[in-house]
Parts: sequence; C-alpha cells; structure tokens
Amino acid sequence: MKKNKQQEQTADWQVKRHSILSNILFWVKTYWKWTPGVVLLTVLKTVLGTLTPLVGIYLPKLVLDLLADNVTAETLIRTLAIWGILVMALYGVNGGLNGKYYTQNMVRSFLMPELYLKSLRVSYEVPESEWGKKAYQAALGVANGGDWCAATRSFDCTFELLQNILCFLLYSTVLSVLSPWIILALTVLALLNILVIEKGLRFQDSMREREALHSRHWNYVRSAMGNMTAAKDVRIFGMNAWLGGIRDRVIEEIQEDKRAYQRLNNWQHLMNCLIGLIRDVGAYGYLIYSVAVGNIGVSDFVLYFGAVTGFSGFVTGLLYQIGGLKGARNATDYFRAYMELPEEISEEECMMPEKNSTEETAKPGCNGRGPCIVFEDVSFSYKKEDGTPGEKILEHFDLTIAPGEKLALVGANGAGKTTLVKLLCGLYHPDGGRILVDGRSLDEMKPGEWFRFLSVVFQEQLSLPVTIAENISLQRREETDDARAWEAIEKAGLSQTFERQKLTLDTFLTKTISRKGIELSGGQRQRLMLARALYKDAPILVLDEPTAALDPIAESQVYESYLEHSRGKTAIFISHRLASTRFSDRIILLEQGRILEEGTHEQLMARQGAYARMYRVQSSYYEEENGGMTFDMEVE
Amino acid sequence: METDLTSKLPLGEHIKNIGKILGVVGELDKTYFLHMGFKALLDTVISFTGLLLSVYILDQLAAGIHFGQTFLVAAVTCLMLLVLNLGSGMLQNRLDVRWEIVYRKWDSITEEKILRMDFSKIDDPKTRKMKERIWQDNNWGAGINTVRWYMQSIMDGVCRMAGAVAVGAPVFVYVLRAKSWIAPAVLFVIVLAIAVGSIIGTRYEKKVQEYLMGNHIIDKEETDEERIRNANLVWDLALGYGYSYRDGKDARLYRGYGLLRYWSLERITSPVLKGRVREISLSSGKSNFWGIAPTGIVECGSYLAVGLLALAGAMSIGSVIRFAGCLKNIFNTASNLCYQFPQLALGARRQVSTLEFLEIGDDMYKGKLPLEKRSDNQYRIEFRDVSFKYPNAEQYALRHFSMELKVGEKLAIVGMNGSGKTTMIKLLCRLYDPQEGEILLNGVDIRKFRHEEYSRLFSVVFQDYQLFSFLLGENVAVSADYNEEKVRKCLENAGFGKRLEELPQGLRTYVFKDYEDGVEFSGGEAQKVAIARAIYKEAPFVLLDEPTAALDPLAEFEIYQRFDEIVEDKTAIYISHRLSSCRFCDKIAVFHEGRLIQQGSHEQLVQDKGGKYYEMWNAQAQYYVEA
Repeated sequence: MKKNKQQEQTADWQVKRHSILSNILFWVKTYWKWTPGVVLLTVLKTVLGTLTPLVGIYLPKLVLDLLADNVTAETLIRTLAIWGILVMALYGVNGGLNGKYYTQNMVRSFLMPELYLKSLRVSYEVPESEWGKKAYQAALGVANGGDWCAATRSFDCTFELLQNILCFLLYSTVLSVLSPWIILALTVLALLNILVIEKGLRFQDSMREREALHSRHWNYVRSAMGNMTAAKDVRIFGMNAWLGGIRDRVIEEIQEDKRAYQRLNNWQHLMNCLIGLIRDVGAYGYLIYSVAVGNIGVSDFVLYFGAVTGFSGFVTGLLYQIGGLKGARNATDYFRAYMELPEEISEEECMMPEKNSTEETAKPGCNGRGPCIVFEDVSFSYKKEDGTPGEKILEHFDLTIAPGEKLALVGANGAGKTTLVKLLCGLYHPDGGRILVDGRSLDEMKPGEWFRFLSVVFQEQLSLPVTIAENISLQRREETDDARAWEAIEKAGLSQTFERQKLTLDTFLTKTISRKGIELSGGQRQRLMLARALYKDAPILVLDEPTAALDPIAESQVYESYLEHSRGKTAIFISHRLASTRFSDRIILLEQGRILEEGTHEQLMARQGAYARMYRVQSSYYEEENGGMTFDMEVE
Repeated sequence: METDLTSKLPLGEHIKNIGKILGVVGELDKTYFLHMGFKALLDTVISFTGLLLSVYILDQLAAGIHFGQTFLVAAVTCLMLLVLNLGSGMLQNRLDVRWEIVYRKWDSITEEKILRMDFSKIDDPKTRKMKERIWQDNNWGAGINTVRWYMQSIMDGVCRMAGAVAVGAPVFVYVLRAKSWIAPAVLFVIVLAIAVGSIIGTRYEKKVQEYLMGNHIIDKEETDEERIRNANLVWDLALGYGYSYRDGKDARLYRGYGLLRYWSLERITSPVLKGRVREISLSSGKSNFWGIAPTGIVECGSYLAVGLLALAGAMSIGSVIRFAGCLKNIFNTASNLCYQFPQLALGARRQVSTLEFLEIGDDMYKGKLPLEKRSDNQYRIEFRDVSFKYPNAEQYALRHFSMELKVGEKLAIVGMNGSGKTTMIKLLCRLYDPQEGEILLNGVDIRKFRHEEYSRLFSVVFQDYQLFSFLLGENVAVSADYNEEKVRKCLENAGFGKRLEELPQGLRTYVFKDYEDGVEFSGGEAQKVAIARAIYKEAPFVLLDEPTAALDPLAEFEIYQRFDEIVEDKTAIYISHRLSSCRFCDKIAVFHEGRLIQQGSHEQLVQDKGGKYYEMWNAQAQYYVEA
C-alpha cells in the first residue's frame, strides 16, 4: 500500500501533454467560469471581425456599379447613407468590443493566486522539490508575461483562428464565382508562404531557450544593479564598473539575438515580396484579361483584386494562430498538471475554522504533555527532478521521543536536523519505515489533523506585510483572539518593543500595504515568530535556530523563556550554539543522518566523544583560564 | 514632480516633455528618428503608387484598351514596388535592432543611477517616492516603447496625409467648382463625425486612464485606509517577490491558508474590484466605439462625395477610386492623429519621472585631496565627538561618539542590537557623513579626501552582504578580469578551499541559479565567499560585521583560527554577537545606545562587574561554565 503511494507520486511528476484542441477547450472553459460575458462578446467580435474586411472590398464595386447605372443623386445618397449607418455600426461595435480587454485580462490575475493556493494544498514535498519548483515556474507562464502569457494568447488565438477560418470560407465563396482555379492557385501560393513562415517559426523555436536565458540575464542584471541591499557592497568594493560591464555584455547578447532575427526577417521579407509579386502580377494579368474579354465588369475588377490580396492573409494567419497556440502549450500543460495534482488537504478542510486548541490536546492518546513519537526504521531521501529518489538523508533511523521530553538536536550544517523536523511535522513522508504517534502511523492520519499538534519556528519565516495580529495568528484579523495574541507577545518578550514603538495588533508590518507600517529588526521578527508558536500553544514545540539574529542578552532570555514555554510540552530545539543543550533532557548529535551520540549533557561530556569536542571548541572562548584553549590560536 | 498624470497640462509643457524624451533617445541613437521618418516616406510612396496603378488599370479597362500594354505597365510597376518594399522592410528590420540598444539602456537608467548616486540618497524617502512614481508610470503601457510606437505612427500619418493631399488635390477643385452643395455637405458631415467621435472617445479614454492610474487602481494620493482596502498580495505571493515555497511550511502548520487566500484570491476577485474593472472595460469600449465608428462614415462618405461629383461632371472610373481613396486616407489619418498626439504626449509624460530620477543631485562633498598611498599602511582614524542620525529618523544612532583606531589594531565592537555598531562602520566608510563632529584620517577630515580613493581603504563584510549570481571568480575579484591564483588563495584563506575543489567549473562556477543555472551555496559558504572578496581587495582596513552568524560551531572555529592570518598586519574591526570573538582582539569597544561606554582588553573589561560587558559576557558564558 505504501509502495503504491510512492509510485503514484512519481507518475504525477510526468507532465501530461494535451492536444491543442484539448487546451482550447480548457481555456474556453476557464474563461467561461470566471467571465462568461467575455466569452460571449468574443464570439460576437469574431463574427463582426469576419464581416469587416468585406466592406472595404465590396464598397468600391457597389459605387462603381451605381455610377455605371447612372442612378440619380438621390438614389446614390440613399444607398450610401444606409450603408454608412450599417458600416458605422459594424466598425464601431467591432472596435468597441476591444473594451473587453480589461475584463478578460483580469482572469489571468485570478489564475496566479489559484496556482499559488494549490501549491499550499498539495504535499509540501511538491513545492520544495526540484520538479515542483520547475513546474510551478512553468505554470506561472499562463498568467505571467503580459499579453504574451499563455492564458491570453490561447484565448485570443483560438478566436482569431476561428475568424480566419470563417474569412477563408467567405472569400473562397466570393472567388469561386470567378473560377475555382483561382482558389487553387492562391492556396498554392499561400502554402509557399506557409513554408517561409514555418521556417521562421522553427527559427523562433530554436531561439526560444536562448532568448529566455538572455531575458533572464537582463532581468537579473537589472535587479542586481538596482539592489538596494547591495548598495553598500557596491560602493565599498567599487562594483559599478563591473556590474555596468555585465549589463553592457547582456545588451550585446540580446543585440546578437536581434541581429539573428534581422537576418531571418530580411530573408522572410524577400520571400514574401517575391510570392506577393507572383500573386499580384498573376492577379492583374488574369483580371485584366477577364475584363478585356468581357467575362467580368470593370467594377468586379476592384472586388476580386481586393479578395485576392486578402485571401492569402487568412491562410497565413491560420498558421500564426496555430503557432501561437503551440507556443502557449507548455505553460498550459504545466498549469493543468499542477492543478490536477492530488491534494493533501482539500479547499474545504483548509477553510474550516480553527478548532479550540485545548479541545485538541484533550484528544485521546494525548495526555496533555504531547504524544509519544516514534521513528521506526525510517529512511528518507529528497527526490530528484525526475521524481526518482536522490541521496539518502536518513537511513534506518530509529528514535523515540517520550511525551514531555526536551530534546536538543545538534550537528554540523547538513547533518539532517531540519529534514528530521520536516519528517516529524509530516511535511515529508518517509520512503521506508514509519513514524508513529501514540502508536498510530502518521500516514494514516490526515495531515491537517497532525499539524494541530505542532508549533514550529523555522529558520525561514513567513512574515506578511499585513497586521501584526494576522502575523501572529496566521488567521484573518476577525478570527484572531486578541487576548491570546497579547499573551503571546508578552511571552515572546516583545512587550517592551510594543510599548516603546506604540504598536498595536492592527499595526501593519512593513510599509508595503500601509504607509504607517513598521519595520522590525531581525531579532524582533524572530521573536514575533516565537509569538506565533506560542499563540498556537500546541503540545509540541519545535524551534529551529531561534537565536541566530539575537544579541547575547536577548539570546539568553530566549533560552530562559524556552524553559518556561516548553513546560508540560514536548520540545525540540535545534541550535548551533551548544549552550542551548543545557536545558534538554536529551541531546541528539546527528551526523550524516545518523545518531552519532545521544544522552544528557553530562553523559556526553563524560564520553569524551564528538559532542564533547564540539562543546570544548565553543566553550573554550568563555573559559577564564587560558589553559582551556587546547588549540593554538594566538593573537599578537 | 507631478502627482497626477491625468491633470491638465499646457501644450507647451507637453511639447517640452516630448522634446526632452526625444533628446535623450537622440543621445543614445542620433539618427534613429531620421531614419524612421525616411521609412514613413518610403511607405507612403509605396502605398500611393499602388493606388495610382489601380487607377490607371481601371481607366484603361473602362476605355477598352488593349490587354498587353496595360498588363505590361502593371507588371513593371509591381516590380518597382517590390524593390521599394524590400528597402522599406530591411530598413524596418535594421531599426528594430537599433532600438533594442535604446530600449535596454533606457530600461536600466534608474538602476544605473542607483549604482552611482550618494548612498544616503538611495534610502531617502524622496528617492523611494520617485522610484514608486516611476514604477507607477510604467505599470501600464510599454514605457519608452510607447513613445517609439506613437512617433512612428505619427510620422507615418503625416507622410500619408501629405501623400493623399498631393495625389488627391484635384478633388478639392471639383468640390469648390461643384454647383450642388451636397458634396461639400457630405465632407462636412464626415469632419463633424470625426470631431464628435474623437471628442467623446477621448473623454472616455481619459476616464479609462483615470481609472487605471487614478484613485481606483493605484495611486499614491490615496489615504492609508483606502490603500489597505485596495491592497492585495497576489503578485508578491504568486510570483515569489520576497516570498518562497518555503513559506508553505508555516502556511500548513499554522493553518494560514485562509489568511493567504484572503489576501490573494479573495481580494483580487472581490466584487468591488471586479465592478471597477468592468467599468474600465465599459469606458474603454465606449472610447473605442466613438473612436472607430466615424471611420464607417469616412468610408461611405468618401465614396458618396466623390460619387456625387462624378454624377455632376465627367469623371473617370479610375478617378472615382483615386479621389475616394485619397479622401479616406486624409480623413482616417486626421482622425488617427487626433488620437495619437495625445497618446504620444501621455507616453512622454510617463517617462518624465525617469528623467527626473537622473537629475537627483549628490549632496556629499566628494573631496579633492589625493590620498597618500602608504605601503606601510600607517593610517590612524579618529572619531571626534560624532553625532549621527539616519535621514528621517528621530533618534540619534550615534551620539557624541569619540574613538581612536590605531594602525594594525584589532578591535572588537560589541553591544546589543541597535547600539550603533553597524552605523559606526557606515560612517567610517563614508556611506554617510555625520551631522556633527568629524572623522579624521591621520589628522585630516575624511571629507576632504577624494571619495573613491578614500573608499579604497576599506574592505567590509556587512551582515547583509550580497553576492551576485555571476561567476564565482568575478564575485571575489569584483571584476571581469582577475588574477586566478590570487582569487583562489583568497577563497582558501576564507575557508572555502575544500568546497572550491569540489566544484567542477572551479572559479568559473556561477553563484546561485538566478543568472545561470549555477550552484546554490549555503549561508555559511556564501559568507566565506564574501570574506574572500574582502581579502582580495587588500585594503588596509578590514571590517567584519557578524561574519560567522550563519556558520556552525566548527566552521566558526575555522574562521576564528584564520582570522589572524586573514587580516595580517591590517587594522581590523570585528562586530559579533558571540563575545568569544573578542578574545582574539587587542581591544574591545562596548557600544550602548549610540555611545562608546567601555573600552579595553577582555581581561580588563570582565573585571568591571557592574559594566555592560560583564553582563553580556556572562549571559553567554554561563552556559559553558562546567557545572
């Protein structure tokens, strides 16, 4: 059963390729869902757009015929007045329908949050995996990139394609009156034209990756130059020449691409002109001849010549629109694949109001001190881009965390501490073995259910430019319990900051949204995240490097308050600073995914192993006697 | 600086704006617009030659003349047109390439300025406001490209108009000579229709612009409440500006989904916002309707007027087509120009803020005194009663601050968060000038030295140091060409040697994955590269601001051990929260609330049991003292 789940996951990571037709249907449905009005208006515009070009070629014939018939001025006025009103309405409405642009454009800004929110409903493994990152970025292409985004392009090309097909049929009907051979001849010429365009499109395809890379270069170099944080480094190290030079190099790269296009465009233009020459000379010859021998009237000459020149435009137009749809395919496929990923938590579950947390802790198996957590023969590796497992991070890992135990995880960077926490949180699932919570496997529990037991402060923190209350509770403002929030602020040691800066729960973080927002220092932000964990007050508290940005006194305060916050809870503390381990019942020293040593501080010191060595390195700085420095580190 | 793009502006101002923009483009590419104009002329010739050819053929056919000659003229003309067309197309392709340089340079004007402007100006609220303004001005539309498009269409229009008047001139003689008033009346109706359409259309278009830029979508003049009400985080969250997939951990564990949904999807799909966009659509639709509908009248009216003239007097079939064609061209071009001129003015107006940004002046006195280059690094720095507060801050970051730094000294600065440690470094490097007091280098006020020469004295690793996603070697040397051996050595000295060996591309590895698909370095590794960069510069002063925060204990130990080697005989200042680092320094300075409160060696300071240093030292050391 477990294995199946694994395979399923891998299979999901293949992006299903859809046919153009399937994608067309998908987009029409998507637009229909958000703005049915726009779809209807677009259909109307397609019909009007088919008729519009016809007016230009029919009108001169009409006038010439009337003049040839020597009608009265009155008839001429009456006829053209009626036409004038019709044409005005046709042009006006057709043009006015362009206004739909803004409403249509809105849809793509709905797709972005849809995709983003989906990334929160799938297993966390997805967005953090290489595949997930790539797929997400590719899927963003449906909405990102202005009018060139896949959503806009697919929709527009679909209806332009339809319009071209209609025009093609209409013009064919007009010309077939003259001679069916003309249609054949024109189609042959159009096919020649298509060959030229095809070559151009192929060239474009071959350039796409390069261009994307160069545009990435451009965006990056611009942001690097404008990076305010780097401004200090730029000045101290005199980087302006270097960065300016790179910018000029990138412009040169882009110029190179454009020059390649210039060569192609020149060639294409030459070919188009030659084909156009054949068509025009042929059309003139045939039509002049037809008039000369009396097959058609002089006025028909104008109509048919217009039809001939228009005709090829529709055929080549078809190709461009199909090219446009093909171009939008990659992003569309990725978007559809991403949106179809199996969800770990459904939208409804996500939106369910938070249950009272004290009620939660009273759940069976939870004796108020947190559950008993057992890692049983757990193996784990992060997946590579193709979904296959990479290097093993944990192998046959066993660990039991007793209810209410205070655990310290130490070890060098990359020893697997954070991975262990992610597994514990159920953000990742073990490849082998299982994690038991009071005897129940985590895989059998709904992720949403298990998350309720956890208050975790990660190294990277989600802080939003919204109110402090929302940042603490991560719930909407009206769902935030103010009293609890204030309590958390107090416990996290932020009361002084709040008093001094006159902050309220409704103060915004940063000035992004509110001009009256405040900027918090790194240390204050870290405390705010601690307040978030305390607000939640879950039976298991996990702190990952919570003191990195704090000064010595604040650090010491965090250690002390940690003791207090974790009273009656299971607590796991990750830190580079071994001093923190003093508060723990048990210290686990991890090395390359394995427990190298474990025990209390005293036990581990007595062992004289790796932990004792690390501890000495750090503590030697603090020992009063120089004798504590066993290593040579002299300063003149 | 203007506040509202929809406000009325005198014509002279518009012309000045356009002139300014064209002037800057002209500096970037002198003959661009000249060639653009030439192309417009060429296209007009092509277009009217085509019209005249049809006219000729129709007249020949109506006269019932022989097939051969007519066809020959048609074929030869087509051939001639082919040549002109080729020329026009190639010129356009060439212009596209040339524009690319103009566009890119323009597009990076503000960034280029940021590289060079006074550091204190970068963070200035006025600068920030201007940047926001520029962002807003470029939020809709295509920036400088808009100016190009409308310049091109206006040039095309003017040429076309001139061509149509030239080719169609006789029709006006017909009109003037006409006995009936109907034909002139038709022309009048056309003009009227265009005028009415353009007036009403412009009014709606203005409404669209107001909606887009005015109070409803984005506007800095909004009250804070309105701003909050209108804000959403869609782009920030979805595109990852300042956020990343990593935030998904908190979102899941703290059930933050509802909040994130509220600030993204719910905000952007709110009925109010949807309603506004619908209004924009409606206004834009009306604007388009009124702008385009008159062309229907132009189309039919031109034929009607010419038809009436033809009925009244002898006019060939060809002439009907010729004059109707010319009239259509004249009226349509006129109606287009009515629209294009204001658009050009608006497009140019939106670029004015970019030019204004360039004009931000530097306040800092750049100094003239050359800096004596000393091989013995005999530099002495003194802070004399320095007070400083950040622009717009209320509290002083440093207050009556005095301190001396001797050559070759290793100084540790400790203090609580916000005690002025980093500020002191910024002043020392002249990123800011103090408001009061002075900083002396060998007895001379540092402001008197040439700024760039003075900057060469310092190597700094800031707490928030930045590496760029370019080549590793270039990041260390801060230059495209560098001494590989030296870079390698610096990286080794910074403790990056082992990692460097693992990199298959070595120094030619791209850092991070932003620019190229390079290698992601951990925080500790990146910090080592930043330290290597500081070593490479070989400046006589080395300043390290919390260089070991991201390192684990063993890496920290490694850095400490090398610290001595790294700074050699240079003057070093070292800021750290880990007081253990102080043990390696000659002197420790304790900062508190912007002042220097204690100074001395560790042994001296730790004796003072009532002092701040003792308090901080103990806070950390207590955990390490064996029970």
